[in-house]
Amino acid sequence: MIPLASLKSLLIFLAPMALVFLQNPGNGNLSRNLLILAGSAVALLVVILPLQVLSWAFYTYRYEAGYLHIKSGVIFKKERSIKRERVQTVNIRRGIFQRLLGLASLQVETAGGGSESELSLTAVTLGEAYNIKESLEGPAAETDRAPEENAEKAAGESAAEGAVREGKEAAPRAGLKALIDTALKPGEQTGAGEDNQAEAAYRITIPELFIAGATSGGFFVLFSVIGLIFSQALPFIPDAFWEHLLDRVTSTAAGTVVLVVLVLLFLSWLISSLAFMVQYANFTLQRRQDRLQVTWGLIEQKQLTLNLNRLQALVVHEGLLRQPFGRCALVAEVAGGGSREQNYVTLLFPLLRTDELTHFLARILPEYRLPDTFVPLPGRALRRYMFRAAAPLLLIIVPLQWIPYGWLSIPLLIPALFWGYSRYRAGATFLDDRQMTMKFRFVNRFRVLMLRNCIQAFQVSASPFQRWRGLRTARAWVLSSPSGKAFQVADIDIEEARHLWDWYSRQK
Amino acid sequence: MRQLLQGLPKTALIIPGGEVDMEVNMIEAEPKERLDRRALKAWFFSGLIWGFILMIFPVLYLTAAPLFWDLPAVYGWLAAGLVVLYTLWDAVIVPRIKLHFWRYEIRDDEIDIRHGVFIIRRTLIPMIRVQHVDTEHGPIMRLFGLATLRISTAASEHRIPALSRERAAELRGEISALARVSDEDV
Repeated sequence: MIPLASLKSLLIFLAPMALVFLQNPGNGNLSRNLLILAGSAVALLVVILPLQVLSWAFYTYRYEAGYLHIKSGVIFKKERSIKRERVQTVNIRRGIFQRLLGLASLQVETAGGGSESELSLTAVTLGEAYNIKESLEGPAAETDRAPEENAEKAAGESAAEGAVREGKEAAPRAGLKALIDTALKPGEQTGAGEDNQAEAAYRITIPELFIAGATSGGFFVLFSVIGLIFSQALPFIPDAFWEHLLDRVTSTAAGTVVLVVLVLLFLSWLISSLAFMVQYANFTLQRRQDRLQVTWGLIEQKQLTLNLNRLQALVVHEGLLRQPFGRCALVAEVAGGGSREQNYVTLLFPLLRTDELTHFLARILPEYRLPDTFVPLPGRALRRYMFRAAAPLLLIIVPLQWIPYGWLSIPLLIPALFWGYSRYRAGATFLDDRQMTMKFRFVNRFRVLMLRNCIQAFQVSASPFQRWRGLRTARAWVLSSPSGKAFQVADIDIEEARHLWDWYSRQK
Repeated sequence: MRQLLQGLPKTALIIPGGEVDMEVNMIEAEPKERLDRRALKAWFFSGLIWGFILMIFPVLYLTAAPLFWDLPAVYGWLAAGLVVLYTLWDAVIVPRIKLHFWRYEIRDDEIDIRHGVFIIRRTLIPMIRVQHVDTEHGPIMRLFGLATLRISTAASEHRIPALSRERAAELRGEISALARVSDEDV
């Protein structure tokens, strides 16, 4: 991995330089610029390569009697011991190069460790990665065995050695085939005992994955990016193209604009769908005793193991675009160690049929139960939801009546009121003996399943208007990284609020 | 200074018509204990300080505007009036409402808090969820012998402001002892 890592840092250094040089061929001819570029690349490589080799040579780890010891640093030495009990998650990832070389990277997260991983090994063989994972996460009885002779080099095992180690587990593969075959198959684990057999597993199918990508809503963001690129590229499109478009396809200028926007929209939708499909390909969720294991990715493969005692709440997320298809995503609120790149949200499954949720949960997470019926909001809550949706709009619409055509803004009230109504319809709560469930909508609809002992604090509040109408707002805090999160349902009946309160109160 | 303040606000703080009588039954079994009555003075005092700080702007306007520009003084007086009204609200009326609604109760296994001015909130924090308790006091609070108790769970933070300093210390000890006991149960 050393040459690759060097190459990567080299590219990071050179990319801006290359951009500057190649964009302005005015100050010198192109070949001379290229020569300077190549020269500085070689110079940088001479500096970077030995540094990488050194830092690799000084990075060692050792596993012993329930502790993982890491030593690192060329000039400034750093030693760290991580206690096994403190380890929250061990993540394994495989990028495209790592898979070609039979390697994996491994991150160890501990409780309260902040957003950075406590330990990050960028290149270990896949087998070794599983060994470390197993020794840190496996059943506690295993830790009592004699100190393991694991004092090996971590980062940067040579590709050849990696291939040999890989060969012990599965036949060595090479080239592109390896990309497809050496997916993270948990069954390949070496030290895995029979207790590691998955009790239940779900794998996303290709059509489902496609629907998930198509309805992920990511294209809104991409559309603005593509629009920007398009506006930059506008001068380079030949006039003949526009003339052809205007003459043959659409007859009016407005039609042309609409067509172009539609094409761009379709394009961004297509690209974002494909990107989603690549990112979450082979999404697999497995339940093994008190752990959930999530694996996903086509080019970069990721694996996440989640201990159930870290699971704080389960969220059924019904995106606006997914609702018509009767689909939803399953998301977990997890204590500690969520990764920043995923916005601290842990996706448990990207797309599920809403009507299969109950069955799905019963198999994967029987600790949580999806209620069939909810206690809906009382009818008198409707006008409050309507008012809340319309009030901000009225603040704009009323002053607009003094300007010409201001009345055109009045029809905007219709979608606003509809939105208020659908938020009212979505609001609901439900209790059973162990679990509180809240259902609410902002734009997307959520069902939040919280176990009683995972709710950190509970609040019932009422404004004077709510007191007048006998309504309350209920709010529950759960632990979620990086800090806590509160879920709330507004305008529940006072009796239901009492019910929730008594259920949560330990004062019987 | 302290004597002066203790003498003065007594009369200054009373709204004609006496205390607002408005009972809110959020949930039955409301918590029993109230905040220290000295809170009124502390809040009055800090409200007054805010008032003075805000008053700087209209005063600046009134002194500087006629010297440099030809701007009417009315706006300055208007702003000053608004600041006086706001200070009256913030330093006299709000503290009374706040004190009226503030209740708390520390039970063996949970902390029950009710507070609010317009929106009244009732919060329940189980003892086993308490991560740590702190007391803190700023200069004004110290002047009146008051302290704020801060209760943190893993996900949220709750305050009981304006307790007497002894009471705050006592509660802190009590809660951390209870929280430790319940920790063992888990």
